[in-house]
Amino acid sequence: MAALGQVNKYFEELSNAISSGQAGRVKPLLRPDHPTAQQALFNLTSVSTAQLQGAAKRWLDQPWASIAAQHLLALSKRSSGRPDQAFALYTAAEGPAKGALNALAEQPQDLWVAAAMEQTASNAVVLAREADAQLMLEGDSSKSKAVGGFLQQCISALGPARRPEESARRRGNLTLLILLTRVYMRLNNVQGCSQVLKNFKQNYSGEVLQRVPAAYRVAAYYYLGRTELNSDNIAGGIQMLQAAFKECKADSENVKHILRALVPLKMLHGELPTALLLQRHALQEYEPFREAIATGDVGLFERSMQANQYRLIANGTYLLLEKLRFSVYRRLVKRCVGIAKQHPGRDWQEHHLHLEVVLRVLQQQGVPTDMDELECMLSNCIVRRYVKGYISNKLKVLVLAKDEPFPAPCEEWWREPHFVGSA
Amino acid sequence: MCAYKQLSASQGQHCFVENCRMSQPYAAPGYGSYPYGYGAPQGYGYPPAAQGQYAYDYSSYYQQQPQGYDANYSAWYAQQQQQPPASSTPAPAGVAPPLPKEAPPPLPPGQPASGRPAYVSAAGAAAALQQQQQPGPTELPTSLQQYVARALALLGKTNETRLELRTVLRDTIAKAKKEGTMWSTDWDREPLPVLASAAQLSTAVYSGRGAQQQQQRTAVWDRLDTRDRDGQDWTPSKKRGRDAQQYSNSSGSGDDDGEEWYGSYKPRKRVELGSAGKKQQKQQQGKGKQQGKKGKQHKQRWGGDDEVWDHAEQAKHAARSARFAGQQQRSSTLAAYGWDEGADADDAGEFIAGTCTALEKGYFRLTRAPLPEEVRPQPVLAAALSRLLRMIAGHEDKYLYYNDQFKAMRQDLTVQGIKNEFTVQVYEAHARAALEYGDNAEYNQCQTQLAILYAAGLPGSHAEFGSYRLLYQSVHAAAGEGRRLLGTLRQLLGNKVGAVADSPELQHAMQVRQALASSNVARFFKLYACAPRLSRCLMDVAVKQLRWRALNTLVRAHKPGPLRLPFLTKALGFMLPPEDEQQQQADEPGSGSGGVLPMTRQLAALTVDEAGRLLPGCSERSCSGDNAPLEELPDALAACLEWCKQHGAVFDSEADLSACCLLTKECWQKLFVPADTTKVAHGDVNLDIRDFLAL
Repeated sequence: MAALGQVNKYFEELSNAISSGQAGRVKPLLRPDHPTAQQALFNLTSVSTAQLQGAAKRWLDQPWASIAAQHLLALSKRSSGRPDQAFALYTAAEGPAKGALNALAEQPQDLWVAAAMEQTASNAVVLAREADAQLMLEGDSSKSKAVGGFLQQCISALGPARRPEESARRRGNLTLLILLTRVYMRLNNVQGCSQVLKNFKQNYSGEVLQRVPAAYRVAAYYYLGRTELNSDNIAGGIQMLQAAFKECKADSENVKHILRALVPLKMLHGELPTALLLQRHALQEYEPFREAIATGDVGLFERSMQANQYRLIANGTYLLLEKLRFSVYRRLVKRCVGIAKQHPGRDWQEHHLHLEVVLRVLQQQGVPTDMDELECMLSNCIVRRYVKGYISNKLKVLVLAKDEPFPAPCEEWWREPHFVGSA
Repeated sequence: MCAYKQLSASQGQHCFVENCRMSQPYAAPGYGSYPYGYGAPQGYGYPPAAQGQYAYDYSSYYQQQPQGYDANYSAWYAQQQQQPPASSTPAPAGVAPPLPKEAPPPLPPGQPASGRPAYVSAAGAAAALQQQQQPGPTELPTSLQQYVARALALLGKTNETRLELRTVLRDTIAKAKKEGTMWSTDWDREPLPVLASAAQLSTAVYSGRGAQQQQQRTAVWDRLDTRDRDGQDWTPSKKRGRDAQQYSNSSGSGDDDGEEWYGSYKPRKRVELGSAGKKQQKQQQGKGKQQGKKGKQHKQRWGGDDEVWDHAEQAKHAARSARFAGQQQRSSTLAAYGWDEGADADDAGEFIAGTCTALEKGYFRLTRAPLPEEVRPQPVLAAALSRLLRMIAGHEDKYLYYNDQFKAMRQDLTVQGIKNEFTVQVYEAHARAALEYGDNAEYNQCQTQLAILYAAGLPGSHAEFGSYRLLYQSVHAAAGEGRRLLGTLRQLLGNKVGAVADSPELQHAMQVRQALASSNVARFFKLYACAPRLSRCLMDVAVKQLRWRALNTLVRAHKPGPLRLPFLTKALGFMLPPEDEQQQQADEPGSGSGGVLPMTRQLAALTVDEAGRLLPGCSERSCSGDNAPLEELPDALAACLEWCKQHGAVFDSEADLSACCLLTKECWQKLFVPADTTKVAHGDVNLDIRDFLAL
């Protein structure tokens, strides 16, 4: 009976929280690591399913009784090392996730229901991840894929808020969108991500997003901003991430994550972060890149790309940072011009830069290159409007434009130049 | 059953691929003396067959190498590579192989019921292979002993079936003795007996769905068959046999609905019967919707008798929907075999175990559940693979044929649910053959499956195919593959599939990707020169666009000054700086840009392993690529000049090529991509229409 005592205690707490109607009390109780739930799990093996359901019914009304019972049952499966079974229980037709979703669809204005739904959906995602981790020996990510489908079902079952006062439905819908983006991102499903983004843009344009708490907005902006980046929409990405940064609490851990994606974007725009900012948010991996762009050190840039390769790829910013290469070359040319101006040789002309000079600097920086490659790179810089001017092939001289030789950042910087007849 | 057809097909000439070979059948070394429908040829590293024995010794598989065979395959392949082919050639090349002394006996009545697949668990079959067979009486022919062994191994899994099998076999042997056909029957091609209990077993496996459903499915198929085939029982091989007395590929009878055409001459009709898998189904549904919306357009496109066409199409559509009605959806499709990710666990149990022993089998897209006698078990597939690899290495046929064979092999693996090291070998070999030929679509299919197989932890050439995947996604980045790049990088560099991150192949692919991303043509061609294995085949894909973009970039960036031709030649990769210079640069301490180039030009593009053996699936010892930089300066200058002029570039005087200049001002707005004259409607330049219409 001692076993059932702990279970009863858990149900009692849940019952109290529900009757209080406070989202902040209901949500933590449904977390997998809630202490009372863990206590209840401790002796659950000696309790039969019927006993568990009976106890739940004594304390709670339907559908919460079965939700709570199934929740505990799934958690016990999880703690006994079968997260796949737990996942199956959780996402079953009568499982906690669907149960809470249906409850929310019936009560689209009660925030505590939304909180319960958010937590159960999030639990399902966590269980799927754990199950996949366990099945990883078989190279399987089927549960994560399954949870993606499940969340999609949930989204279409719940739908966006139809009336302004359906705040709980709005929150639930937004949470599901965010969870789905996370799942898809982990699966590298770019297509799925962009679909979620499309859904988001349809339903949350204008003022609507202002009606949810800032935390939801930050999460949505962050994930959707990264989605934009993955599909190479730099302008959209920077807008979203900047909005997330603006809304985020300064002392939150999330700032670091936002900045991790935002800093390369800003650098791409020609705005370098201060060393202090990088230090404060433990983003030291960007420090060499900042320095390379600031000093025009191509060698440092290439070496840092190589050294940080794995970390950057894991963060998903590798391909973004790669686009900075032209910025570094631009800076290099700019500095070479400046230095040549300060120490004019005999044949110095105001807007001319001998490529031989640049080549030697590059060799000093430890870049294995030759004149042909350099000319190719600088040609690219010119065509992409990093530098304005032209190259004299015979004299090996870069002739810079008299007016604005180094144009301000523009969209051509990160777009592939278009040529007539190209695919 | 199909073995007989294989025989009739293979007795004649293999004319499908090459006309000129019509009168000259396979007389390849180690291969020629007997029709290949029979079994493995001699000289494949099998124990040599006895005199007068046509087929190879099956017992070597079932007894010695039941499971380890696939593991030993590479060593085995190498061994037979090294063997001088002449020693194992009974017939001199060029002479037609003697036909078997006696025509194969007619099909005994009551032999494998074609409409009743004997579903058995594939896993069980593998285990059963290990069981030792009873020693046969000495007076029986060896092939008969092997036949008994085969039957026991495949069918005698439980005590009951073994007992039943024993009676059946005893009857068969007694009958053969009595009729005097014991020594003349080709037991290696004799279909295995069908047991009454096996028939029950097949229904039992389906019990989850119920026999009723199975009936329902059969009924639907009957309906289709009746409508399309005049009520005849229809099998792919039968259909093939309808054609000439020779092995003709699936293209031989292209007037059939379910036929798979290589050049997709009938893209729309292709889905009518040959639908398999959920994807197709979805496509069809989508198509159905489209038809509803754009009915008129549709008619216009097809022209002719709209009414009739639409009517027929509607009827077929209805039949299709009926087929997939209810819960039955996946059972008759490939998806039922657990190959796609969404398959349920109980579906995965319905794999069949094949009994076909033909080494040569053309691909035919399944239109119904496959029959065991049309599907080859792994040992046979292994023999078929080694035969095919040998043919590829010996340039014995065209890619079209190899591709067809590979696809059939892959299908056999799929329907039997075989996912092991051998599967990886088949896919790898097919991928290499496709790459070498330039069949990117087929390569991509193999690549996708290989990624799944590797992720499942199977051994294979992870580094090689990881680098190919990276290259493929890099060169097709503009076409949407670029979005997958990050995931691939994450997987490969995180050593998620084998420790490949530091392999020279992958490092090379990383550098290529980087060169492509920064449009650095000069670097790209340096990397092209030292590309490992078959990487050049993939890099070739990017060359055209890359050069065109580079020409535009250079012309724009150098406007209004002239561009010297020698510079262009190097910048556009028609010629390379000498290697020692490059190596010096690479050897410099602390060199950035990806560090040292680990691949050198001497080691580049070799398609042989460390021991000098050809990689499975390759036919040449090195992969030269279509765009290899030229050695001699004058040649390179001329090639570059020619290419630039084709794209609308204007040069000053062409008297002295090394002083010749491109006039940027004159042509910067006039550059164009010339029309592709090499393109053909069916998408494959090397494929001639006459290949299909073998006269």
